[in-house]
Amino acid sequence: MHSFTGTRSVTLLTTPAADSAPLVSARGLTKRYGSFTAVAGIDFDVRRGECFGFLGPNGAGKSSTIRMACCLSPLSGGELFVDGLDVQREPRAVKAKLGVVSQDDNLDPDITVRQNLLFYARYFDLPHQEAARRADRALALFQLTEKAGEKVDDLSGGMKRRLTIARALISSPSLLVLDEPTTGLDPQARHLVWRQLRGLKEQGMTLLLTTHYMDEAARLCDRLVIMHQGRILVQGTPLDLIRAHAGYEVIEADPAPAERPELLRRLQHVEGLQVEDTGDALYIFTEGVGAPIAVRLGLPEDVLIRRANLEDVFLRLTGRGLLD
Amino acid sequence: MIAIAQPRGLRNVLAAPDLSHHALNVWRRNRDVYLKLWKTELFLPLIEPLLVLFGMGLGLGKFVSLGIDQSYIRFLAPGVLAQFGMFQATFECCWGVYFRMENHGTYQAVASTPASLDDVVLGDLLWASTRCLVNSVYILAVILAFTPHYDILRSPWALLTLPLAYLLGLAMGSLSLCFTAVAPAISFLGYFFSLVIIPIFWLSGTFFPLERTPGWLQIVAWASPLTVATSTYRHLFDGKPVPQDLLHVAVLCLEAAACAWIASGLVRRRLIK
Repeated sequence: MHSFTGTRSVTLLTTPAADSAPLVSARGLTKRYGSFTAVAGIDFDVRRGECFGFLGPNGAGKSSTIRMACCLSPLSGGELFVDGLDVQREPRAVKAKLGVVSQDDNLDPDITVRQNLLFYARYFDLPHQEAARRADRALALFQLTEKAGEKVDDLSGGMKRRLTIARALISSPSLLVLDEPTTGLDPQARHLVWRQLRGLKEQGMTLLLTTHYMDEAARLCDRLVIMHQGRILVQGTPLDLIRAHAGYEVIEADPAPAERPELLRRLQHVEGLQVEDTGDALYIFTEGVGAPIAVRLGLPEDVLIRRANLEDVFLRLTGRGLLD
Repeated sequence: MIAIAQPRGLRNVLAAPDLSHHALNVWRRNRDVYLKLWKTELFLPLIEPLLVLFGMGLGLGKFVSLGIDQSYIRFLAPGVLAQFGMFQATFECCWGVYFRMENHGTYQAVASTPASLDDVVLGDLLWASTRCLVNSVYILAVILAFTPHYDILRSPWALLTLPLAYLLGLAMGSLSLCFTAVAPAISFLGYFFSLVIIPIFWLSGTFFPLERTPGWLQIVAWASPLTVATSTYRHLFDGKPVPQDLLHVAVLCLEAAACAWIASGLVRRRLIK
């Protein structure tokens, strides 16, 4: 198993072949607010057609990174290219290629659902006929056709989010940027949004998203980075990250205080385990199937054994304490 | 890594706005919202100016003597026309803009498209001026309707108040937007209204001739676009424009441009972090 510890800055060097050139490319990307460094010189590449995720706790620098990519926030250092365009030199051209779904709903409450799409299309210089055609198609795709004439305030949270995504797609962007796309949604709405985002990916859309939901990252992202305190700790596919940093299965032991020293002693005699002691529970990360190990450790039959997941990676890398 | 100096503070506020045709798309959005409501709102902008014009003009006018050939309602009318257009532009740029900027996230949403924040500011300013113009058309039409009876308008020159109304709207709207852009909360706009707009309203030379006020007060009063516009409106109503009016137009242009420039810088400072 790879090292579980340490903060590593990972740089992917890509070959400069034109057709496989990354859609988004950041080098030494830095964002400072006064003396506070939100993004501390990160490198990443988003390939065409993939869903790339920024995972991290609140304040990790995810949103700052996204806002710089959307030309909504000036860079404090480094460089950032979208489809070969420098975000600092050609913000309008960059923004013409983007569909942006911001964290807060910023739909226009004074106009109807359909008008939200049509008026937005004006900023991309779409002819009215074309905008109307696309708006109707987007409303159908996002199951909002029946709401077309209603005011935005009459929509549920899930519908608003779907409308925001539909609005971002009206210009047929090269890149869809989503900042915490399902925060605040109920489970049904989240699953519907996920299904639609997966559908977009299947059609070849490149997606860039931030989230602090592990299941969301695992479901949607082809590759992701985990950010913490402005740095990229690791990057890779969800599965690679889980294998590298959390192993295969996790045994969550919760020994009685009297049994704890004995369990810790036994753990030292089993090879290939990583143990995290949170004070009460013991998380035992295994390279293989957990059940035989649980038996060897003399753990009760009903001990919780589950597959390792991104949450384990995340918590191992960013710590279990509250971060804000 | 290249360290890029971010223009901060005053230099950033005073940096040249980045404008495009999308300002017109912002204007069109506001127009489309207005056109859905304009029939229900049609008489609203007329209530207050007509109350002031006829209530004060005829009521108070009975006790006012300004000299031969000058009824009080005729003295009052140009100022009323300027003021109630100005109020509309101010409302748009205070509460209208604040809601769109802070509560609805419209500024951020539009800035995520090829439009810039400066486009949004200019679009909203052009719209505020349009509302000033629309209200002025209403009020001027009513004044015209009552002119045969009360002898208010004396010249077709009065039509020139309409392009001036647009300019006045731009100047007062931009001034208001400067305050909205620094307002820490929506209640701050109330202070702006009480401390800036209401004094501008009373000192515009609408209700009493400014020449009879102390000199320092006159200087303060003439700094306001409303005073400048009212004076020129009055000359146009009488059909006797003077060369000084050209200076007034230039001052209005200058104030509008300066305030719009600063307003867009202040909005950038507020929203671009």
